[in-house]
Amino acid sequence: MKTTVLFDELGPRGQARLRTATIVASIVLVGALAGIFVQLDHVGQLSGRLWSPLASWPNIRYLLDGLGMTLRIGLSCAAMSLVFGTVFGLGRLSPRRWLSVPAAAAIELFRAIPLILLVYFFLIGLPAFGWNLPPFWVLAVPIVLHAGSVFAEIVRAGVNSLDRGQFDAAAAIGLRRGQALRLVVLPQVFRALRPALVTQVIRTLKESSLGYVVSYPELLRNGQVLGEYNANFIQAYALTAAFYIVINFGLSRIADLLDRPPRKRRRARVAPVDSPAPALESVS
Amino acid sequence: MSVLFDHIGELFTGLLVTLELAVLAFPLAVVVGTVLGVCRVGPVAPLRAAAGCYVQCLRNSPLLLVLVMVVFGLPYVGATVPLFGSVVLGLGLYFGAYVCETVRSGIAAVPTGQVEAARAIGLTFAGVLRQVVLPQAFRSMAQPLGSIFINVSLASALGAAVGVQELTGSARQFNLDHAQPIPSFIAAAIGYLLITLTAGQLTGVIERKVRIRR
Amino acid sequence: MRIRTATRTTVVTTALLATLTACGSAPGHAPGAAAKPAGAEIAGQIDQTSVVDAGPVGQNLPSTPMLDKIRQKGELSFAGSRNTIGFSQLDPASGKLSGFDAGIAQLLAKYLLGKPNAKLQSGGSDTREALLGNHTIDTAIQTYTITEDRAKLVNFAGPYYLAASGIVVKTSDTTIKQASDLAGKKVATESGAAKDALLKAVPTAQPVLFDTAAQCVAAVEQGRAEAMTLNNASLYGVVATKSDVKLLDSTFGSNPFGIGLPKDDPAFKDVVNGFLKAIEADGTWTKLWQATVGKLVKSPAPQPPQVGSVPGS
Repeated sequence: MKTTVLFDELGPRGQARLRTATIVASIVLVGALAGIFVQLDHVGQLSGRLWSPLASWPNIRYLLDGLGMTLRIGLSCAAMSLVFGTVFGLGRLSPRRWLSVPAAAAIELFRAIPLILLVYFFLIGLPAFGWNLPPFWVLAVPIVLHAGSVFAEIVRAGVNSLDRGQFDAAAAIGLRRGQALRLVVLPQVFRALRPALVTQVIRTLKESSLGYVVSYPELLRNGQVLGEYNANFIQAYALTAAFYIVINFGLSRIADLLDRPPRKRRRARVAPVDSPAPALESVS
Repeated sequence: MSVLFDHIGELFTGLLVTLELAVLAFPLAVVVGTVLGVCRVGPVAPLRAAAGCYVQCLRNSPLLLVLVMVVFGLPYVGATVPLFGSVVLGLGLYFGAYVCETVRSGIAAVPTGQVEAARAIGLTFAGVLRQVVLPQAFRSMAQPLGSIFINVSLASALGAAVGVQELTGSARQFNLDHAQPIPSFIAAAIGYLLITLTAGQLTGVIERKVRIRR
Repeated sequence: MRIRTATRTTVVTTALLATLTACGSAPGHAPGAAAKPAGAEIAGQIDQTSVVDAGPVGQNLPSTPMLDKIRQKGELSFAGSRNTIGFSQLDPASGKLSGFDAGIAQLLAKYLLGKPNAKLQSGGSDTREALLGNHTIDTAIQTYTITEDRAKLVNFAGPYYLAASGIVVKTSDTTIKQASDLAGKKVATESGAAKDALLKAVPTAQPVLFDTAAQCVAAVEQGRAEAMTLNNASLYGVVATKSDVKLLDSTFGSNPFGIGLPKDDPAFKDVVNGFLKAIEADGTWTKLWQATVGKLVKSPAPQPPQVGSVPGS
């Protein structure tokens, strides 16, 4: 339902009321924002001493280095988690119980515990076994396991929402299950899941913010160090937040662009698959 | 292992704190999210923009950042909330943004005919929402809301970074004191599994009961 | 369009933040803001480079597995902090590590290798023992308190520094004057050695744990905790920039810091102890203290602690 249907075409009295409501809302919002700024100024949080270190190029470069590391680990974890998620999601759908049961168990396990607990386990538990991973992997493997399990459920929902007819047609022309998956199901599911791919990248980027636990120098940890060094950690965190918001917002705009219906092609094509329900989006 | 059982009380206390955080933060998130969702579908443009901006900013920031800002930044704006309350507030505000999106899709799932019928009998915008649309929207949102509850309880693990000793923090503290990482983390994982599996089952039961058969 | 309005508003807010940063030269309104130095100025005063350049190089050192491995690598890897003012603080802009612990690491590297090639690795209080145990790092020089429990897992060379815990309270607070006044009160601190020292001295205190020193201070400023404790020398740097908290004169506890070493090479422990004795004898220790902690504490240099004087070392 288009939500503009919620309110009717407004008559003159309705429009006047709407105008008043709009003006009042604007005044209240701007006033609240201004009030916050005045209060912050009053307690000295807007002073130059606290904000000027953030304007110096070496410090900004330090944050940008952190951003680079965040992108590096976020993007590689996104790629790995997509593979992990597809493999395990399809595994869970398999009719062979020796595949589906372990896959389901793994997915449920990694979705049911917090990411930070998983990171602590890899950080502190593995050395107890004698295994040693560089900080990148100590952070990356838990993220892949956690985000990959979330994506596995999305893939499962995607495959389940595919029209039964596709499976039946594939069987009718003699494709084995594996071939059917590869040639018919997966291409359609991934086309439908394009926006979910970008959401996955945003998810792994945010989850990489746990790098401070393993001393991996990503954006949030660098912001923390900067705040400690210059004794202005609120300000440093605010700037770090701005970085995250800009990057992730940019990515979600790309997701919106991908969600637009594809242009008409010349030859006749199968009716587009419905997008899977906006479901199981686990967040972090 | 026996050391773990001697100190199981600490971990159990941590589990209770996690539950408290989740049980308090989730309703707050639902309230915040519903208000935001209504703003997003309403006719008043500045409210739509402000709610949209809020949702975008919070959904695109890491939760840890939001928690630190709420715990340490809010006092500068005049409101010093005790640590536990700050973490509840931070979680509620953050997941409120997610609930907003869920509410919007729930509203979109209500058939247009319902709204038109509501307007035909003379209900105002508020009346349409309150009496017709939202009840039906919520009944279709049981599953996503249950999922958000699970996320809230998992996200409460970050409370340890800002001074609230919940399950993960207790496990880590136990490990620092007694150097037994495997038993303590497995115990914490079991605690979280208990919460998530119970919540998952409950969500299924609730969803089946309130489902609208069209 | 809804999306466009939201985009516009988000862009405007982010631009506002950026403008705030750019216009950072606006005069501060907080009382006393002009008098207090910026954090980076404090950190900038601490520089041990000249002391390290003049440090001794070990002669005729016996061959041990660890020493051979370090010489083969050409560098000494150590677990250290990036955030501890006066002991080991990383300047984000220049990448330089300055402080007492950093100096000890660099001097040790110079003693063993002839050049101060000390490489900082990540490793926190949770993982130090395990990382030393499987030789991911050669040493741990990280305000690492010697305890008998830890000595079962790693070897300690030293002690090389005797730290006391300091107490920071709000400037307006007159009720807390010494450690015993902390009984039953909420005290902000970092988990690890600081918390252990607090509970050893004041078992009824209620620790509130945060990740960083700045957060602990903010907790006191905002009334979330009535006091905070950390290593005394670090606290000087932490409160130097703030006017609404003060550092008490009274200190408590005695934390001996040692150099953590892998358990399986006792000969290496003797080599490192030899290094410590050397720098204590020729005055390098005192010069290092004066260049780092001395700039913060402003009292005469103490006598270096005697090697092996603490149980566990």
